[in-house]
Amino acid sequence: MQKNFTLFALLNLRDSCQTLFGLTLSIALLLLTGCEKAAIDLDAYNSTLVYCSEGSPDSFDPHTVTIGTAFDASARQIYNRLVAFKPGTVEITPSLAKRWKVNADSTVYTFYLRKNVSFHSNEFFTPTRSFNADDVLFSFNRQKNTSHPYHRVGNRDFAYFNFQSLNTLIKDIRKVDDHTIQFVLTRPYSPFLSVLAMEFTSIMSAEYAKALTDLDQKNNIIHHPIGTGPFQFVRYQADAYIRYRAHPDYWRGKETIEHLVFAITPDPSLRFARVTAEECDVMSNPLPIHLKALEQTQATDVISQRGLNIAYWSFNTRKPPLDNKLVRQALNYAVNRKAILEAVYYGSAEIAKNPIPPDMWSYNDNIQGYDYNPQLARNLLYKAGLPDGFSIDIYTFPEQRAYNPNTIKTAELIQQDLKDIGVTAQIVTYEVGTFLQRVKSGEHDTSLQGWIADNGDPDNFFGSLLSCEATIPGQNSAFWCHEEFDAIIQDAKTISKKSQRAKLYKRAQEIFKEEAPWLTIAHTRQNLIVNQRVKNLEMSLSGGIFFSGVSLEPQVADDKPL
Amino acid sequence: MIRIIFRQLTTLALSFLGITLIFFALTQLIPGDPVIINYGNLTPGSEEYLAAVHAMGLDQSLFQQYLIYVDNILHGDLGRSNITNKPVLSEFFTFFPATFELSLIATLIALIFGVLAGVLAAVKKNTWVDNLVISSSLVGYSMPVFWWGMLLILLFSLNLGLTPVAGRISYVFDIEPVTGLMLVDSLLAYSKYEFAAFFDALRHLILPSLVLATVPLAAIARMTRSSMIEVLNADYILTAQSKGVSRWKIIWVHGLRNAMIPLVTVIGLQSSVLLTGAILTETIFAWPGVGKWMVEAIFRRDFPSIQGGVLLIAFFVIFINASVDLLYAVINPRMRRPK
Repeated sequence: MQKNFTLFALLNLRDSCQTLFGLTLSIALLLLTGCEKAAIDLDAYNSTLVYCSEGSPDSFDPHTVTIGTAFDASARQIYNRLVAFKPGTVEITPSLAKRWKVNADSTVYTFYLRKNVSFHSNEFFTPTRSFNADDVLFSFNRQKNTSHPYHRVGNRDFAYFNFQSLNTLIKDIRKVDDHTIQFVLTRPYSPFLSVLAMEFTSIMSAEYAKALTDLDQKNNIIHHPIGTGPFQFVRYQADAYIRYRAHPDYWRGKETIEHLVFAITPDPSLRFARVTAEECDVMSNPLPIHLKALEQTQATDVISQRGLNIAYWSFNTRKPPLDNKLVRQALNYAVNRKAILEAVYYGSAEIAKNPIPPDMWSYNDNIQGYDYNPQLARNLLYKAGLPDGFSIDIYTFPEQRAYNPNTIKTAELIQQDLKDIGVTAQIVTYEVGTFLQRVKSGEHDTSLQGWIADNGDPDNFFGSLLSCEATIPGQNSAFWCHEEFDAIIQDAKTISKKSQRAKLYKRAQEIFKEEAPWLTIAHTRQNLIVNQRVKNLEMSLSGGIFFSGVSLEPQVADDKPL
Repeated sequence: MIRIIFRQLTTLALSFLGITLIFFALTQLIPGDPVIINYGNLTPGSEEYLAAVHAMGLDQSLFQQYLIYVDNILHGDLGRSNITNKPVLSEFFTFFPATFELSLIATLIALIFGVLAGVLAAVKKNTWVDNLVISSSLVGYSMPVFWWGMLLILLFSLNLGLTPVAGRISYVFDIEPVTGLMLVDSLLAYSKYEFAAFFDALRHLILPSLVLATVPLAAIARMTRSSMIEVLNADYILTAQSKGVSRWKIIWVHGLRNAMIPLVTVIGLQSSVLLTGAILTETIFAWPGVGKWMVEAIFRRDFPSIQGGVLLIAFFVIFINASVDLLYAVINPRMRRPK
């Protein structure tokens, strides 16, 4: 009976299965091929550039953010500064300021502003006037005056403004007329023009701020940014994408890319998959293995440049036993950096011995770096009265950075090396925003850090990362404040003669080596993977990405990927 | 029927009470100052700090605090994310549609193909078809989602170029999020792109929904098979056969309908599997849903978001199970008539 039944059922089933299979197949075919015929607007494809970025920006406020990912998303596309770096160099060129004048002792800087520069518009705001001196005043006073109505908006530190000590440096900002503005400094300061080209001096609209105050929506100055830059902000979906449109009235002329999209893809392998499948046109921070994999293919190019950066392991010198110079030196001898370079960087970096990269002027090549020598490290620990070693934590974050493709792996290699000299290290991982916050509060023993130059001035490394001043916001993650060192780098800031400054910085590097507040790990090359239809994309020396001036080679219907 | 609905509502209320109690206990157990966890770095003793203490009701008894907590939840107040400073509830609902869309398609796939495979295996019991279904469902059931997703991307997206790698839709389409469901939103943009955006959204759904459907599909197939075998051996099927009812009708009407009854419960239970799977699937395919949001929140140490998100997911699972129990009553006549 059972057998009969099965046989019979089979006959019926075969029919029904055929119908079902047929149905499924046709749906699948429709999905896979049907859309190829339903032509996607080719114009849209030819005017949309998709950039696979490495993470969500923590904010769109160029005045408060500190990481490159956030500057890429805000300052570098939406905003302009008074002056700019000539692409790929550290040379200063005019931007919102047409020209400028500096008085004899470089304490008064006068800027003549460009006329007819228009701001973006959005659902809250349509500008009624072009850019003028009020906008410059607003953008600086917001950061400078703690009582400014927009100072507390975002409830964040104006980290860069303070690291660059502009709060004490700028005595007064004077509006001479609508298109002339004057900065009066408290002391001569030679890197000032370079500082004004940095992202945190981006010019916001004072008129927009006023409109938002009237609407009681001050926070929208961050969530819906308005600038004068080449692209205007359209929409941000957290952890998914950021969409921009070309600013129709951009003062340099409208961009040829109509739509710019940041596809947020934190996983580097997925990012690589997307760029090879041509879902993205540009991929940020490729891993060295990706570059190797690309050697055989033709569809993509690699843009590679020796970067102004450093990866380092900083020791919190306020916490014993790390307050002892001998201990810090011992840790410097204990780590095999060659192994890190091979395992983490796959050879696309060089060992760092100074806190500044070799391409930076004033680099002291005479310094003899620390070599891997665990025996010497143990001796130093013995001398420091710690023959049995000690335990520390290593703070790090699970994200890849241009200066370090894999911080956790780096931490693990360091952990292994430390075991050899009797030091127990515990790796503590936080998401990058939390990591920065905790390190700034100084709760770490040691932390894995990195720095990418914002401008071509050595002070950007020494002043931002190693000065006594920088211990207060905690950007000096070693909390290292050395009297002689600090006096030298402060001096070097006021002298305008480059050769004299270089001499001082060279001496500073000697002190740095002796005191060893960091273990300098590596200087990396910075890379982008770019599809061949992308033209004129250049990397800035600081590793940032600017899409202004980039164009797309138009594709014809047949070779367009979906 | 009213009795059953009433009973379900009581269970729902009790589960709600239980969950809130557990969560309240958990928030008490989390190390660290709850004020700092929720409001960021305030100096203890400062005016702002004391205001926060008062706002959170921390100056009252534990029982009072629990009442405040439940009251807040009932008013939809789950606190604010300490990264974006937006209400957790509204954050959750910006990410939820993406997860809902993915889970819905995955459930449909799991249901249709799972039941089909199960029935096929039951009808052709002890043949190679049956063995194939059993063994492949075992493989599917134990497949690590991560590995499986990567494998599919490698094969279909990178080698064959048939499907997109990640995301919900090609960025060529500028789709305004209205409902948050990409399939709907892409149709709403019909005037701009006609069906092109819709088809593109569908193509983006293929791999992630397939990956997410794998485990429930295998579970449903196995359950259908055993339930179907049991039913097909029942006396009333024999009666139907001897009366000359067509085989087609026996399998699909008399057989499947009765075999579906225990299956409905299994499907309800799969909803929690689906949500865990969604976390992994969304991470692999850069799918901006609740799962990915939770993972990011964990990395950002965004405690209010983590707490609120887990609570909402728990409610969601309870709600689905209660609905499934109701459905069970509807399709199972024995449940309706009290003896």
